[in-house]
Amino acid sequence: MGSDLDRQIDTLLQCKIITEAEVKELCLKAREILVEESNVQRVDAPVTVCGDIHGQFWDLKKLFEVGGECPKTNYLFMGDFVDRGHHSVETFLLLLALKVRYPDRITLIRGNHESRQITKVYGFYDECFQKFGSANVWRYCCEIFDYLSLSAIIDDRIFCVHGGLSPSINTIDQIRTIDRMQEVPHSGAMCDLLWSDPDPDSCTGWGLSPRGAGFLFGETVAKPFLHNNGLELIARAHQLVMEGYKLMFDETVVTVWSAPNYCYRCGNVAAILEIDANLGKSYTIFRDSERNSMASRSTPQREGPPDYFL
Amino acid sequence: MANAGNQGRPFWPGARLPPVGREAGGFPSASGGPLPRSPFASHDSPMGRNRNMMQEPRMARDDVIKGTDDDAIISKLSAVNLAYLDDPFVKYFVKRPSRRPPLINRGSYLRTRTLDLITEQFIKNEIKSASSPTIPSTTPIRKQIVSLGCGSDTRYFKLKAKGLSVHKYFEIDFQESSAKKAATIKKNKAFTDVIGDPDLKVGLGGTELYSKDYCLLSGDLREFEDTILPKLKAQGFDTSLPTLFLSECVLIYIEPKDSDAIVDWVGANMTASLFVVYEQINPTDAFGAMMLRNLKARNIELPGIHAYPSLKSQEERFMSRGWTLAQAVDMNALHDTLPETELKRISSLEIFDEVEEWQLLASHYCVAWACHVHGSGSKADGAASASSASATTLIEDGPNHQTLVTLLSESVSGISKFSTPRT
Repeated sequence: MGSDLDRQIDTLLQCKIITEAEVKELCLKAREILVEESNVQRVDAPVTVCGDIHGQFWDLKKLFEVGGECPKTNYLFMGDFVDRGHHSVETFLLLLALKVRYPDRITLIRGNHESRQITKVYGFYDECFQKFGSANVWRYCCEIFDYLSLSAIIDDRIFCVHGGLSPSINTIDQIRTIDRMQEVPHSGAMCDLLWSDPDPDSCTGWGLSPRGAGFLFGETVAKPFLHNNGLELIARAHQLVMEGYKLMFDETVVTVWSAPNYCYRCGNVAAILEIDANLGKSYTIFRDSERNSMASRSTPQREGPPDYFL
Repeated sequence: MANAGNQGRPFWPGARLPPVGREAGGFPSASGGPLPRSPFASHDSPMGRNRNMMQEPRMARDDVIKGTDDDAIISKLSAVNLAYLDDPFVKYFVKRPSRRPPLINRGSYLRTRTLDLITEQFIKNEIKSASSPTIPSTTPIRKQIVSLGCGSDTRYFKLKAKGLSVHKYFEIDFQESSAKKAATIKKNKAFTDVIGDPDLKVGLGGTELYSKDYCLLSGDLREFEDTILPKLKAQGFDTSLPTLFLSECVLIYIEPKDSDAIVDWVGANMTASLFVVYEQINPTDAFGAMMLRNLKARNIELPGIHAYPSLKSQEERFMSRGWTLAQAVDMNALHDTLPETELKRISSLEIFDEVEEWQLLASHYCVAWACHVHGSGSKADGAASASSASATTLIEDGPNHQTLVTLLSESVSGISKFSTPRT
């Protein structure tokens, strides 16, 4: 069994797909592991915290080059594995296969794109259909999305979530009571955790989000949340940052963005946050893989160049 | 308190989400099948056979520019099919529809809406001449519109179907593009009904159309004065009439010396003109540099972008040539001008999770407008005919210089207050 999985990982590492039957089997095994995880999954330092990947497979490979291979490096990915990029299938299945192979060395939490509704608009659904000829793989993956944890906490001090805070949540324990095994709802605590953004310009606590889901939260919300829960930092992803990461609110909130040259268009660098055993933090910046431009040039029909207004 | 904020939020649409992928009715998957993007494939050029070696690079580049219209019209149809825009004419120009990502739909919508609004205002604005007892309080004034590099643009048809028309609406594009457009217009009643001229004529081997108020002309904008202008004049183009010039991603594709020649000619020869440009800016930041690289990979060059790389330089393009006023705003500023009801409406059409990327993209496109009115006593163009007396009279009266400036600048008044770029 283990050798089958290793073989699948090898295949996926080459950006090649495994069979539909293998995906089904992989998802069954992943489910057994994920169902045991808490909504606030405990993670021990040292760990390397990563933001959005969005199907940019070759950039994920670059990330592993920069940050070290799994399982040698302990990883925490804060969601948005799929959509937008050309290789959501390979990207998510590779991360999932690593999770099944090394469950204690990689943590995957849910992003707002790990959702049936969003993946139908932003590419993962189409990609599954294109690569497997049916929506079955998309369906298996969406079932797994429902099992993904909503957040993680590193050594009781660093809270990691895809989006941010929710006005419905004051304590970490409240997150633990959410019934997460469902499609991401349009409102409420679970939605907010995956959709909210910090608002550096906010004077007041909460604001409306331009995304139409989640909230904007200001410093006056973030700091009391940390204090009340004995935390020192909120690490989150969800927003493109041209410099790869962005510290806010006196370094109590950080955005980590791990998709370099996002959508092959934005020209940004990416970052990972390495947290050592003493919770010391260091950021490593990396650029996109050369493979992106090569790949899109060799198969323009399938992958297509990014869109502009012409 | 925070939960109260749920009211009136632009919720994403839940069950009303339009179908995508192969389950979609009549709307192919975004990734379903090749897009008709290749600039070389789709045009069976009558000129192709005569190419000589010297012309090859320029003609290859021209083909690419023509191909950008295919891309733009597919994007526009995507926005129409999702109800961002209402335009029953676009579909006739697209063989293979393709659903575009939400931020592209939003951009196509915003660009089209902005230029539509300016054009509508230009058409609707009347001269208020309370100072003269002999002229009624509002006097209809004849106007012209010249769409440079029109491609498959449908604005003439859309507006006239709504009852908004001008004395003459001229469209100009490369011969191959205009031939395609002329054929589509000629064979579809939807278009000929709007033109409404039984004497609609096809000219120059099917590459041009002439009617009472609409003319589609073929030619190369790099030869504006030598080639285009005589054609315009032959169809009744009148330099004494207030005229709106539209350039939607057009001038940026030609060398600055050629685009400058057009602006110079308009400024020197038109009595009253409004010039509106929509095009890319900011080529040197990280996003802009990547944009140029990606476009280059598609063989698309933007020779004009370095000459007018910023909002300021877009304004300077006109002000340095003595235009009366010029303003440029980026698409983020235009997005901010959307009325709340309209923002709510488009937010309900699709999920929009590309906020940061949208802001980046939108900061690399601008709309610039400029108006130029010759002062009283300035030369009236020799070609001004007796039939344009109303305009000529207005222009020769002292206060009417300001009146015309007002007439033109009011066309963009709805957006002109956003002339300061966001910090």
